Amino acid sequence: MNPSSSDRPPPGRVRGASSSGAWLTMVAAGLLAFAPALEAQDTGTITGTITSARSGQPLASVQVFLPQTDRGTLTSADGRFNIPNLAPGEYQLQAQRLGYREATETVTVAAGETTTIDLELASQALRLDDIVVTGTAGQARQREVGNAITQINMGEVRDVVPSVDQLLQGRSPGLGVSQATGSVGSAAQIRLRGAVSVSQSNQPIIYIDGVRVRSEPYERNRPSVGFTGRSANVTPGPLADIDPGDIDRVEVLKGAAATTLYGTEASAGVIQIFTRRGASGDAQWTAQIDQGANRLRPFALDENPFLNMDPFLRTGHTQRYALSVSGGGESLQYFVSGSLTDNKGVLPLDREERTTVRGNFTFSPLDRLTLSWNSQYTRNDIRQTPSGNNAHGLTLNAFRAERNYFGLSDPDSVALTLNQEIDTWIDRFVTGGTAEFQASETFLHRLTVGFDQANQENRNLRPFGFRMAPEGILSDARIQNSILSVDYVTNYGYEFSPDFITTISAGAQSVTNEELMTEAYGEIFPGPGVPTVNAAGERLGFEDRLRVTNAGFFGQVMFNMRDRYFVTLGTRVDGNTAFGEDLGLQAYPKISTSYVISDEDFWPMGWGDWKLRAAWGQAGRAPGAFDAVRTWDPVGYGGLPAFFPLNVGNPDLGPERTSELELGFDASLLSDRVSTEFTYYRQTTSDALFSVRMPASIGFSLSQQENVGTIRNQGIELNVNAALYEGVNWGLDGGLNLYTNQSEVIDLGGAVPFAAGGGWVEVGEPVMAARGWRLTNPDAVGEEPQWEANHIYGPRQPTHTIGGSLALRLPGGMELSGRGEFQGGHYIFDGASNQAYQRNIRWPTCGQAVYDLIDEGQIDGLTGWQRGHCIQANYQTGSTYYPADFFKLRDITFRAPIDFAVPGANNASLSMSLRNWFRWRNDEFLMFDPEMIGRESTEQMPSIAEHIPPPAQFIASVRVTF
Amino acid sequence: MITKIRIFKRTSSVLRGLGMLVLAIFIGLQLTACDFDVVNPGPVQDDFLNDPDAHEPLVAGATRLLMQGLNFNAYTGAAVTRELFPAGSTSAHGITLLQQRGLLVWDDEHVTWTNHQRARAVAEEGLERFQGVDGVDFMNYGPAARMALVAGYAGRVLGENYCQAVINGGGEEPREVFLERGEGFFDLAIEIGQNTGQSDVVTAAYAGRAQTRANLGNWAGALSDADQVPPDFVHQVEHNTISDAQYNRIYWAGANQPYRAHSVWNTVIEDYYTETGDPRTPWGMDENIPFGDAAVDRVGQVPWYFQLKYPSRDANRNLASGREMDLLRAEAALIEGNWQTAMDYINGLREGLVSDHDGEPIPLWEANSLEEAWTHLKRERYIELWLEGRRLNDLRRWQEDNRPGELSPLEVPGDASFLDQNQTLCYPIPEQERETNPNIPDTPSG
Repeated sequence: MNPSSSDRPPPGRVRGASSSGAWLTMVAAGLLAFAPALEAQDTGTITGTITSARSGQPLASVQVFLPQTDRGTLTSADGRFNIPNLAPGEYQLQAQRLGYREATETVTVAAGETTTIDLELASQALRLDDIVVTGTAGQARQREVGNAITQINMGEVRDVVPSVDQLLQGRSPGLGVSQATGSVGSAAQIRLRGAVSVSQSNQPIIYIDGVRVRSEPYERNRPSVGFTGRSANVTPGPLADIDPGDIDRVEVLKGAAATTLYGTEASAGVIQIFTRRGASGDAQWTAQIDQGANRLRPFALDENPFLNMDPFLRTGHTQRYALSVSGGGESLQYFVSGSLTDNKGVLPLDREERTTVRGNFTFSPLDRLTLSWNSQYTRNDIRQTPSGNNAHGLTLNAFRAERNYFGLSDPDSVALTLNQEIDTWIDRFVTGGTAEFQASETFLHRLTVGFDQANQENRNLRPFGFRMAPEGILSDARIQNSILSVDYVTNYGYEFSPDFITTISAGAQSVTNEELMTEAYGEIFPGPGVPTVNAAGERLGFEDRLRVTNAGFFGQVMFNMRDRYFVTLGTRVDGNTAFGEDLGLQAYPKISTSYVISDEDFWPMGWGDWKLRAAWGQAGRAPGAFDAVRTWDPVGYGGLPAFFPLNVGNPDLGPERTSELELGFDASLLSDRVSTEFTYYRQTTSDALFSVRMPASIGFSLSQQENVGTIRNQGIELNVNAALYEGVNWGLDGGLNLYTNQSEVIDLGGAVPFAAGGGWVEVGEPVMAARGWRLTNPDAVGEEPQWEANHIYGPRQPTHTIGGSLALRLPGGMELSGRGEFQGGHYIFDGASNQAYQRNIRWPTCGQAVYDLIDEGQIDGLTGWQRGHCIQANYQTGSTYYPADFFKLRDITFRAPIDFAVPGANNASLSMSLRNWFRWRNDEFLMFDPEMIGRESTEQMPSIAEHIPPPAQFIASVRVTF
Repeated sequence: MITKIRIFKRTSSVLRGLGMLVLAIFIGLQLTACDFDVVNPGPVQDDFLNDPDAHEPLVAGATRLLMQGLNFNAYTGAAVTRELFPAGSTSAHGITLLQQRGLLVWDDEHVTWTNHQRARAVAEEGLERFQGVDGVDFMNYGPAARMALVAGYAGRVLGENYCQAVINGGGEEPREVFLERGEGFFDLAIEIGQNTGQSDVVTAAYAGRAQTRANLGNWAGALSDADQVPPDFVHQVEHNTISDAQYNRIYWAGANQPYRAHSVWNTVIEDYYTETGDPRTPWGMDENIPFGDAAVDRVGQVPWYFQLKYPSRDANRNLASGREMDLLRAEAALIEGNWQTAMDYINGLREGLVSDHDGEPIPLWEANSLEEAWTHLKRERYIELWLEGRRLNDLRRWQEDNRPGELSPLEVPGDASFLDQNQTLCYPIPEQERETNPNIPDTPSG
């Protein structure tokens, strides 16, 4: 379950210092970076550089070790390594790295001398011996794992990545990342293999270095009283707190077959981020400067491409400065980093300033004991422009022109909306310690304790004199969210014979999530100035507290036969505070098998490496904290206490349970020039939690969570990477991935069809389908519009995604690469146009000429579509569903080494990326962007409110290692 | 192989592995030390409400639900009957396209039904709960009188506004079932109110029962109850500024903060107030903000004349008043054909009112026939009960009973009002109830 420290060489004896606090230790580590390593005169040192055989570029995080001594290290960012204090003699030096074939070299060490040896690692198409951690009982080799695991290694990412969201976007089939909106602090939505729940979150859970961290977006900055849309209507995401420069790799598990050991909260998948670690040797400093610009691309019709937003848009400057140092001795290694990011958005008030500090330390006080401690602090200051479905906001009033809430379209009037302040400040501290104890050669214990605390302040001010609230309104919310996780895993190996080995694993985990929220609200201020709530004529206070604990244990047995047949059996057992009192513990079994068929004698040498795999497993999703209990809501009425009926309650309420079957293979072809991964998956969520609607006449709540439904997702994932051409100075790599997803509601368990998550849930239809009115005669001229009620348009999530990449390697180490992505088969709801049509707003899709005809009563020549949408009385609310097929050029990137320009640097490079500049969308979808999703509600599906789309971005980055 | 867990050796027994597994689970459980009996603060468990200390909050909750229902009902009803004219917004703080045309359809928003039904059910369930609590002398229990009053008014409001009745997930019944049920709870409120000395509750129950009995055609009973209500008595639901659900919706949707969803333009009140200055129907305008917040079909941008009967978010709304009792008396007299007596009651309400414009008494109505008197009664109820959520029921019952007298062209279907010919005068059972209640058809009959 935890990230293993054992994918690096075994630790040596204690040499480092202990610490008593995160900051002290991080400072101490910085000082250590300058301290020369102690070296005895009667020993020698091996040093050198590891580079990629294909590109010649240095490789970081390569495990370099001497098997006969238990000594080793990791290469630094410039590919260098250093192993000191070696007794004179001959050694086998081995180098291993994910994605590369192992290299071995014999090295002779002489007393008092330094032996330099440089190695090249050849890339490996099929990485059967790579170590993976996530979803395994500790760790496993790829060959042992029966399910698909996506690995994204930062060393292989070609483009400049400004955020973790964009690191994940378009990298793997089945991993969907929607860009949300054009406001800063707008978290992308992540989905793995579609939606497995219609009532609970479909956001994957997130781990950083084995520590469970927040996965849900932060609280939206909105006032405590009144319409909650007085906001930017977007939410920052927790992934934004992680500096991408700190990341070493990411592992992604997409379905229940792989996430069983995470139990009740993992049915939507797991993302684990591994941050960089130090390596023994001299301090290595890395500095990076990013400079760039955000610019909005046209998103409406040609005659009004920015939908009246032109006077307010700007080219937003984005910049990032990062510095890190890593190194250490034999017993203590460190990685310390810091970064400053200043990102100005395209909207006039939008700005995000982020500071991150990270310290990762590995300490080996005993031969059998390794301690690691990783900590991160992030401060994120976000100021946003009021936007979205916000009548006090900029975008809505600009879009609607003279029929906005001012009744005026001139920019000066609309700009009055900017006289408000929407500020979000987030302080986040994530720390985790892992102790790994090798009790015997076959018996390993690992304990990880993690803590993630985020303190968020949302301040939302419409000051005295604000046009639409002249007396002023101030709301200030303080939210503290903490997650305490404890994770214990043990492994025990037993060898029946060299061809039959068993590994028994067990473990227990606990995750406690607490959220405290206090809000102060005030309105009616005495006059201009910067107020506090204290100054308000009317003041209100609010408080919420919530604690949810999930805990469980697991057991797993893996059988290894001849290192090519693997069978793994396991079960996870969980309890959760949100379960009904009569439910008890829940068990989630799994079984998987893999077969490295290419290791068989009969396998022809020229057919490459092949692994066949199959996995079946279950994972769950817990109900909400209060769903199982019959409760009343203390709402108050005026100054009096008052109760409302809240929840009917269900003592048998339990988690929804997703079972998944995965079948697939991994293969390398054509002498390792082509790698292929193929997976068929079929997920069935039974006992699905549905908000079963109840008649209002019974007087209680309108719905109650029940474990009654069954939904299904199935599809394929195909990933092909190929070295299309390899020359001495030139090369061309290509990649293609394909993902399909067909979802269907199988059973409602007697419940009547219902709306959920922004879609419609009905047997035989896609999960959370697009449903609404449909115009049946859009092209008919001279006819009244004919509307069909409750039409099911289709799925709200893409049914097929195709991604492609090309990378052209040029002489001198330069490279030009690009990635594109097509998504299609789904529908999006355009809420902004829907609101405009029903309010008789002069909307560009109709055009002034049509409105003039309507005003003159000359409608005979109008089409059914024009009559249905441009004549207000004919319009049917909720009919603006459009095909959401699109293609986007995710990035075009140029990279070049610039060592010559930075004297004294070990390595220097320049990268320039242009992101999301080009977009194609379905011809029927006339305005906005098909990936948009606001946070006006808890909708889980992309839909359009009065937001601007995400902007395109250009970033140039210089990275220097010395 | 560089990972330690893969250094395998034979051991003496596999039992060691099994022992390790048990040990691991034990240690793990100790480490995680879980407490699955978390009680989160916030929502209150049902059993707690059996404590008599929680009964007043239960009454307050039911009362708030009644207020919330009436808040929506009064606004939507005002739009459909043209007590107000739509001026733009159509969503959460506005008037839907169909309502703008005077239509209440069966799949319309169910928020009004939900709030009223919850008020009724919570009040009725609360009375049952009180009866079952040890130590509570139900017929001498103060909270029971107030809860019964809420149940009574919930029945009256539901019966006045809905085309059919549904009780507690049961079948479809005539709307009178709501009224009869409400009448029974008014009986209870009067009895317990008298037992407990709560004269305000007793008077409010008489006023509500008078309204209810009039709706049921029991005019003698209505007049008897009306006689128990002093002329200056007012019973209201209260609004406040604590949350938007508790704001007076008619004020808030037209307060230019930012909504200007409705207007007095092109309603009876526009000219009436201009001509008379009747303080019961005030409205205003702002030259700097000439139009509503969007536009309306066939009209375009609507001149924004804002009502001033409710001048703030916390302006309360009448449920019943002593003045309305005079209107009941007038209507009862008209039904008896005694139009002169009716006019006395009608003009009696107008006497003593002075114009907002010039401080002069507002004019009295003159009638020379029964039909003219009916016209005056219909208009006077519009004026007296403006924006109180009563016009929809008045128009429906007069139409059903084929009462004489004229209505203004501005409130009946036609080009002047921009109302559809099939204007709806009662709320149908909403789609939410039909789809979830197995005892009624999924779609309305006919």
